[in-house]
Amino acid sequence: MTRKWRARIFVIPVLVLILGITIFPLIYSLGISLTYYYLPAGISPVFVGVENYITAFQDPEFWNSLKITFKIAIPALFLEFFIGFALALLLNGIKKGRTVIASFLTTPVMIAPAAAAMAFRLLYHPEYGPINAFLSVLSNKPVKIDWLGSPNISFFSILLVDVWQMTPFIMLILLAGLSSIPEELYESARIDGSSSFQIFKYITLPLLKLPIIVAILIRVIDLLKFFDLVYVLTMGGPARTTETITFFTYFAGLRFFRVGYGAALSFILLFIVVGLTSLFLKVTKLKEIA
Amino acid sequence: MLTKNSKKVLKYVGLCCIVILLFGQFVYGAEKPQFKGTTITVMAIAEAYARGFKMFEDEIAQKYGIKMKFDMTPPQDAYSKAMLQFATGRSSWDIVLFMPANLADYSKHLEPLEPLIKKLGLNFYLDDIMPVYRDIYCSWEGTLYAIPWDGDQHNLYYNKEAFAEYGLTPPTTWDEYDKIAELLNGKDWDHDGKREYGVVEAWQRGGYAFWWWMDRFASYGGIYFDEEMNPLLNSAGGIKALEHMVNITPFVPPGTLTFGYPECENAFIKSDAPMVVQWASTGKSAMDPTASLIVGKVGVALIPGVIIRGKLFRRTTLPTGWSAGIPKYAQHKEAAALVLEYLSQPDRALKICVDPKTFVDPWRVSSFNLTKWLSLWPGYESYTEDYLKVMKKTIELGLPDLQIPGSDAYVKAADAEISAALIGKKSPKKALDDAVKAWNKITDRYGREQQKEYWKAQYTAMQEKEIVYIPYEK
Repeated sequence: MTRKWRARIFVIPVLVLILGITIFPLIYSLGISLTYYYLPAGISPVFVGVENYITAFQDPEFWNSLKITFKIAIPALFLEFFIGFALALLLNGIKKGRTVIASFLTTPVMIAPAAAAMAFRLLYHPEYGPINAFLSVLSNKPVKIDWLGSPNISFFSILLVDVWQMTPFIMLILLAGLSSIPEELYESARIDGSSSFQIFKYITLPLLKLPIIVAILIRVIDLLKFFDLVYVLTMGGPARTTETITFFTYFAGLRFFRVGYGAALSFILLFIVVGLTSLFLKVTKLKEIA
Repeated sequence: MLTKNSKKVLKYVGLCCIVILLFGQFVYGAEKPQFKGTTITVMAIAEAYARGFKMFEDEIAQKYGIKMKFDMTPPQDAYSKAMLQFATGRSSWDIVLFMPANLADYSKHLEPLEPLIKKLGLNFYLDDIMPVYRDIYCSWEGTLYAIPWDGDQHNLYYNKEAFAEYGLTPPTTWDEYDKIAELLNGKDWDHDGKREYGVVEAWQRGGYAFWWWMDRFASYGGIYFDEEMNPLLNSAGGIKALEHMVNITPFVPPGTLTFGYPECENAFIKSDAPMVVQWASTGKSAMDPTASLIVGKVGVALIPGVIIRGKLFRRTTLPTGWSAGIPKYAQHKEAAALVLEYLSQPDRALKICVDPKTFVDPWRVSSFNLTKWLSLWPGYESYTEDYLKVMKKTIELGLPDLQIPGSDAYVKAADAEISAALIGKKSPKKALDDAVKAWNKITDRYGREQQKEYWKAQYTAMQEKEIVYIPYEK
């Protein structure tokens, strides 16, 4: 047996594992998405072609959930990125105690989203929550903001928890990127008389491009799959005003057991995520070439 | 001195006694088999429900050798978690607690109890179970699949001091209820220096808004469908019911749209609201000095009714409830059946209900034993008496939950539309018209003819309990 073939044989177990745990479930759920499958009835799935996909596109609730997803995801991404970037720049300038401060700031990321949501559920309590109590002290009058029950505020309250929790993640990635930029580059720029803005524009930003793309990509993917916070904080309410696409999919597939429809919704979400990330990569690559 | 014959007779008598004793032991052993080393798994939904099992854990272990372990599943996930396992023909539980509203779906996966009763010689004292729980919440198409665990129902609780201060009596109609909520809202009726709210309810997404709307709709004579499977939600009574809910939105505490059971109960027992429609266990929590600020000030009444054709009509509701069944795929079905029999004996069922730490409400006729309940709240005899009377009457008048396949989907679809009206996004009529459209879609998805048959089965059982649709007219 040649060395090449021996190497191929060694790869087989990994290949089987990947096929088993990634490719097979994906193909299986694609198959399910083409069927009518109501789990509690105990009947086998019935092939219906692309009917579930058509139903989704004709379903106003699907479009509503997609709209809500973007309504939360876009501002969350902007806030997390800009605050995270600012914090990373600030921390990069600190020489003493940077590690301690960075570890302290990253604590929210280490908390499970469901646990963070539980904590915020208490903080947001209109009657007994510390946030309203604090605002009451500040304004010297009773403040009873309904953070999670008001349809105009609830999405903002969810967004706030996500920003609190995930900003340090962006900060951490960008801080790692900043730390890897050689100090000599800054020194020579300063010797050449460059201003701080010029240094930022022509050295920091271009060299941070890759970490920025990675951080944004991960957050875009995560935000489009936004679930835990909604589940614990509002259950998609009030009146579906915080029902994101993953939450809608969960309800369809795992609460109402429209398994085929739920699978189709998952694939639509997958196409959206893949489409957006490809577009983003293409745009950033084009700029790089330009 | 005994003669030789007498000795012989005694010898035979002795021998017979030994045989009888041995035979008796054998027969008894056959009736109540021992399961030494068997551990059964119970899907419990919260500590307050598992406590009923735990109270007798040691006794059961001693008597049958059966040990128990508990899988705490949040109530809102119990159905999906169970169905996902059952669909694969498996069950990691030997006993499951489930909402009777999902009985149609569960029944395909539960062991009918009658054969187990016969085989093991069990006695669940079925005649001692309140008929609606036995015949509707535990039986599907005439087969008994479960034993009640919690006899849920909605009652009205009110703060007697607040009511007395304003010369009020508990509301008998929903109009009065709205007026009291308006009157007491913004007043410091408990003199704690803060302005309080007029009423509190639970409208959290996931069924709550629907259940609280059903309290009113049932009072307006409403039921779920007509005989042709047309939803009745947007009937005149349905719209009136939702208008009542919208009417009280300015008088409920902020956050009510996200309130579930605990938040709603808390607002009442912490004296933030003077009146609440809640499950019967609130009647226990309100009298618990470790949690409640209103011990001794609580009054209980039937939920309000409606004046129909000049007469006060009352129809209460029995939302959710919990029943205990044995999955077909369970490993220890017989052991599970023995445990259920042991726990559901009248004296034990009563003990579980009376325990202040359980959320379990009575479901046996014999559990309405005043003497036992009096020991729970010494010194509050009249409250105890009222509490039992109201609970018993509520069960007698109660409208059961919708139980046909997909009931969860129906409830949640209507719930979302009711919430839309509560936040002012839709008018009550538009919201209920949309709920009807959603219900028709669900019916078509599950198969209209089949659903019609299931509804017919439930409606027939309801009619036997004299629960019929009464169209609302002023």
